[in-house]
Amino acid sequence: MKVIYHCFGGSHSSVLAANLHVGNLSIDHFPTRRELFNLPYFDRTTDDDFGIIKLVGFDEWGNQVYSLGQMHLGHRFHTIIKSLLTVTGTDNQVALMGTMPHVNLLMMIGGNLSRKRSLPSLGRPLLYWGTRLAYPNIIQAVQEVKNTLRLRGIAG
Amino acid sequence: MKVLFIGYSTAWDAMAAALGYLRQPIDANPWFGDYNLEQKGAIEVGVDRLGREVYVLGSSRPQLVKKVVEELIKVGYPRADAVEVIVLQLPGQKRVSQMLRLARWPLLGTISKQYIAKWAAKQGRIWWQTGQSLSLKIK
Repeated sequence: MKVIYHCFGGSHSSVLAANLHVGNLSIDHFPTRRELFNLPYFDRTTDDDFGIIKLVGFDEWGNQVYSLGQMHLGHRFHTIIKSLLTVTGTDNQVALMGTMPHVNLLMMIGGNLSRKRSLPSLGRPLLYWGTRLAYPNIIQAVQEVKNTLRLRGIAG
Repeated sequence: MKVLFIGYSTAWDAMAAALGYLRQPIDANPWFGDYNLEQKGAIEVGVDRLGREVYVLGSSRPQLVKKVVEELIKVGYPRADAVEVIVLQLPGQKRVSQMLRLARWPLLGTISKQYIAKWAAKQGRIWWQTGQSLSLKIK
C-alpha cells in the first residue's frame, strides 16, 4: 500500500503530514524551528519537484508514505489521479490525501516567499507560525487516514 | 493495457483525437463538446484495433499529469505495462483551456460556449486527423 499526501508545492503541508504519519514528528508537541526545517524535503523543493512523488518513510504497518506537489491542478488533481488508478485497477493500492484544506494564509504567504521568491529569511518565520497554527488540523487529517487504513485492515 | 489521451479538455481536443485514433466519426458522437465531462476523470471512449481500452482526460496541465502518472508507475502502481499515456500537442489546444475557464461564468458562459463550439468544429477535424495519424504510429 502507498499513502500519498499532496499539496500545492509538495514542500510544506504534505511533507508535514507524511512525517507525522511515519512518526518522524510527535503528535503531542509542536517541533522546534530546527526540527521542523531539518525535516527531509520540508521547505526545500524547487519547481522541478512538482509532480515528483517523494518517499518520506514507512508507517507502522510497512506502508510507504510519500509527499507530492500537485501545482495548479487543485481539486481536479484528486479526481484525475483517482480515476487513473481506478481504470488501471490499482485504486485500492494507493491512498491519496490532499492537505491543502488545512493550509492557512500564513503558510501560503510564508511558503511563497521562501520557495517562489527565494526569500527564506522573510518566509520562514511566517511559515513556522502558520504551520504551528495548522498543526492540530494536519494531525487530525493524518489520524483519519490512519484510522481508514486500520479499518481496511491494511498492513503493508 | 489502457491507452490514455491527455489534452487540455476531456470533451474537445482529447476526445476528438481519441475518436480519430479509433476511427470513429466525430460529428455524431454525443461526448464531443459535452461540458459535463470536464468535471470527471478519465472517460473510456472505446477499444482500439489492438484490443486496448482508450481513455480521454483533460487537464490544465497535461504534462504535469503525465509526470505524476510516470511517478506512480515508478512507485509501483499502476504497472508500467498497464497504461500508455499520450499527451496531445495539437494546434489551437491552449485556447480550448482558456475558453473553458470563461465557460464557467454565468454571463460569459453561453457566449463562450457558442464561440468554442464553432471554433472547435473547425479545429476538431484537425484534432481528429491527428488522432488518425497517431493510430498509424502507435503499435
